[in-house]
Amino acid sequence: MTKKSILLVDDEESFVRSLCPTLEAEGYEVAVALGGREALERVRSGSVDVVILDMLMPDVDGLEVLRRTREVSPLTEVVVLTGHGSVSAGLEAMRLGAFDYLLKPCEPDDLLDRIRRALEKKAIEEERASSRRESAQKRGPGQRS
Amino acid sequence: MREGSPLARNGGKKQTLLGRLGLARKRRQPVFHELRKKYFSFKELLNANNEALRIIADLEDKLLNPEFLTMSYQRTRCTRIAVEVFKIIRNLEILAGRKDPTLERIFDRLCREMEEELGRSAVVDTKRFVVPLEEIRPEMRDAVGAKSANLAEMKNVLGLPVPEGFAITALAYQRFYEHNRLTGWINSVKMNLDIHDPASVRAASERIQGRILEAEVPQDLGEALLQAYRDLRRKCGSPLRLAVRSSALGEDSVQSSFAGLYESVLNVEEKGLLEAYKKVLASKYSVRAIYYKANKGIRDEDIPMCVCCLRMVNASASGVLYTQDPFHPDRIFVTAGWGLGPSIVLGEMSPETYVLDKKTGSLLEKRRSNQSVMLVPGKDAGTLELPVPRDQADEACLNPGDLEVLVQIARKLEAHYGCPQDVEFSLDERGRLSLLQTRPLAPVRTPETKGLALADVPEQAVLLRAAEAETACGGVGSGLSHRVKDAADLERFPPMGGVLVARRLMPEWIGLLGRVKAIVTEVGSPTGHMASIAREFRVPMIVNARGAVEKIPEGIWVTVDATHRIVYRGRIEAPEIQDAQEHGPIKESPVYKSLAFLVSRIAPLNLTNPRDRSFRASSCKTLHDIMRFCHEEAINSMFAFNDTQTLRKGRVFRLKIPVPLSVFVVDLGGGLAGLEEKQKEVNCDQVTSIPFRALLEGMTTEGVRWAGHVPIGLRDFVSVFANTLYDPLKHERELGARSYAIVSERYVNFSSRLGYHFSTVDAYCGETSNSNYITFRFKGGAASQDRRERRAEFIARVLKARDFWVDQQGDLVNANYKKYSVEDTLAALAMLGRLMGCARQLDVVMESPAHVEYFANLFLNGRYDFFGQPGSSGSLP
Repeated sequence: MTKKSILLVDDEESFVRSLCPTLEAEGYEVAVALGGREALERVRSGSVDVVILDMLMPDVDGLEVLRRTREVSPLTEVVVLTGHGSVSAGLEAMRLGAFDYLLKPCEPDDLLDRIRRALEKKAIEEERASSRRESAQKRGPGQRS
Repeated sequence: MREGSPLARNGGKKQTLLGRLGLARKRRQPVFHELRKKYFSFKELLNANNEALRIIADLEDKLLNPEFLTMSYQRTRCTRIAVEVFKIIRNLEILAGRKDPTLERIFDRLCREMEEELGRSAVVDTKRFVVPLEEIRPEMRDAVGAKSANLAEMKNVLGLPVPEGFAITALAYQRFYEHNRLTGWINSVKMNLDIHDPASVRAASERIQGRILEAEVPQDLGEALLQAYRDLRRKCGSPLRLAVRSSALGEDSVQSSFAGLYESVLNVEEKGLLEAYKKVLASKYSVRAIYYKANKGIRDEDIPMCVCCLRMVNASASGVLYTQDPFHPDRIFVTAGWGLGPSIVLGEMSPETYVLDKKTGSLLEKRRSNQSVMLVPGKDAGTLELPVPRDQADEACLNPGDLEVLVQIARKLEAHYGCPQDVEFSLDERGRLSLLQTRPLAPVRTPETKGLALADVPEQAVLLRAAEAETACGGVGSGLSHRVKDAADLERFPPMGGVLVARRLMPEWIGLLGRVKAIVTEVGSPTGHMASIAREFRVPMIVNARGAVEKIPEGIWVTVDATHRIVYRGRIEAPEIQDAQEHGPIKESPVYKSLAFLVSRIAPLNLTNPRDRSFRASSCKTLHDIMRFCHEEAINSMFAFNDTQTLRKGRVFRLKIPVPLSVFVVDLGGGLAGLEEKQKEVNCDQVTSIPFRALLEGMTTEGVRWAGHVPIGLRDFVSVFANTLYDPLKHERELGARSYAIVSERYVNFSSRLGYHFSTVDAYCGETSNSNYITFRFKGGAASQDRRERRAEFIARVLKARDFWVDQQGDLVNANYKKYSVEDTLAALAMLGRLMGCARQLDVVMESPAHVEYFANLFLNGRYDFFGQPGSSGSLP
């Protein structure tokens, strides 16, 4: 039984430290990145199911991390969790494909709920992708519609 | 949906719902995955809709109870609801398979309007950093701030004696902020501020003030300020000393006095000017100013700190003129003391008091002061405290001639401004009068100033009867007494509220607003800043109550009747106690108006009836409209599943059910069993979905009637089909109504649109009670609004009795039942099945509120055949 992996990206170390046990207690494999650059490295190395992403970070800004995550690993879901309350930033993140845009302070239950839903979405998208591949193989090359 | 949770998801990476439930792999065609995706989008849309509705409820509640309203609250809620509505639109797009440009356009516009409102900062309308008082015109109020504008008006329009001076404008403030990049930084500090935590407020205040004091005044601005100083010196002669005071926008208005909240720096010469300017700017973030603004709902963004620089008057005496006694409209109230003004307005001492008749100008009452020290300008800069010379101490500060002038000024100001004014003045060595400020006097509303009915109070309970004391704000308040000597005592103030007893009142008490039920001080004056603020927030307050600290013991329950200036031991019930602090002035505040604007773009629901022709995207005016529209469209899309290729290929099954409903089942995995090739219909016993089985069991309970003629009440029945005998079911069949159950082993989503009402049961019933839930929604009907509402009430009543959480608004019922055991959840589903059957036709007979109770009792007592028994209608209420 493989654990689902969560990448927690936030430059506020105390926040990260307080959140990790909650996620681990839910049975998730939790990795931490304290900055945008580190986050992108981890996403590139693969196998991240859900990224919990802060917006305002000193090195690479959250929107940029989101944009590149969607490029590098389109099936990885990103839940933004930030103190940055802004209608335009929220909508931009959503347009870039964030699963949700949550604001701190956030109830742990709300975050866990979003992670569950993001994982469900990811599972559905993965199945769609593999089923499309299967049927494409069945039809054989040149017959793809 | 909970299948995605780690608990439910127990397999390897290929172990999907379908796989886990052992359904044949060959069934998993791409088109089925599209359906699952759509179904997930439907669930997400419902989730987002629920979340958005919660935010709307929260905003509307805040509109009613706006205490501690801040702009960051509004920013947070607007961001969240914009995101949720965005998700609703996106998910609908997936469900419907197409974009709706109209909807997106309206959504974008609403978001832009909200964003503009959130980011709106005050308009700056001058091109100058500095404007001399003589040149200030009324339309420049927003550029120079209220204090400078009022002084200029008195000087230029009314010809009253006001010292020379100049205003430092909002543009200067902006230049200073931009040069030092303060706005963003300050917002980020404020974002992390917890207004309920005094330590956090103090830390934020110190950080921000420190940063402002260290910041650099940009060269062009600095030069402009110093040039203004030199110009004034040329005009008035040397030496020139300035009083540098705040003149914030919104300050000195009827709603918000900001009395004494900001710094004034007195006796400033050229070399101290820039420092004094920064000091005043920094005071925008003093602890007390932060609390005050939070309590009044003032948006910081609205208050560029303008500053007013006045030539210092060598004041031998200063005072405050209330053109109207707050408690006696026909009187003028004057307080005065030796030296500079602050000692009077800061409540450091009890000043001389004069009460004059407004009409005749005759002196009605005069009280001596206890002044022993006075504030005078220092030799180089700053101020000094000196003892009042003995010969002066026995003398009155104001002579009859001064009083006569003040009465004339009072009349002139009231005539000009049309409302009572709070005026600061001073007299120089030669007895010449100068006016230093005028602002509207906060009105005192009479109901709150009522005291106790004295006859009802036992005399032995009196702790303090202060004959000489004065009422600063009338009314009654009670709580535990708490003596306050310094700031540390304030922090120990009873969290549940108390009565503040002090020798003198320090401005920091503002941090306790909402907890302070009444105030009693030994010195001070009703014209002081703290008294103004007490009146603004309607905190009963007695000042000048000699011996209060000694006579009122610490930590006992006391009741303060500020109107009669009496303090009692114990809690004395008076209706005023509850009224004293409600309905603060916040509703007039900019931050409240901002909230009202934002809510107007979010909450009103214009699209109510899906059958109306106006129920379409282009009619959406608010986010709520968009939500409602999308929700309806989403349900339609789910209903239209049978039109999709998938369903025609045999993934929808008609359920053979012994009630006259057209039920179709979509199985997402494990919800049906024993299916054969080409099978189009399924029997109830083929249903393996645990929650759906429970629901069906309820729906098919003996006695529950889903069809039949409604026997009574038809004469009043307002229907689009005015049949004499009305069978809703027949109707619905004619309308092609269908119910859909989308199921998995542990999940059911049962939507039915039966003619004119719509209901959804959405439930998950899994291994742990933690993930179990039922949500139920019921809306609409064919009868008149009041009857539909009564049916909704019937449903709400039954559900409440069965431990559901219920929210009923009009004919809409939202209910949920969460985290109960599997057994309880299944029992609740069966009950819902029966309830849907019984409620089906009930709206048409709901003639009166008594019917609600009658039917609810029948149902709760297990009698489901409401119309089946002959004569049952006869026993109706």
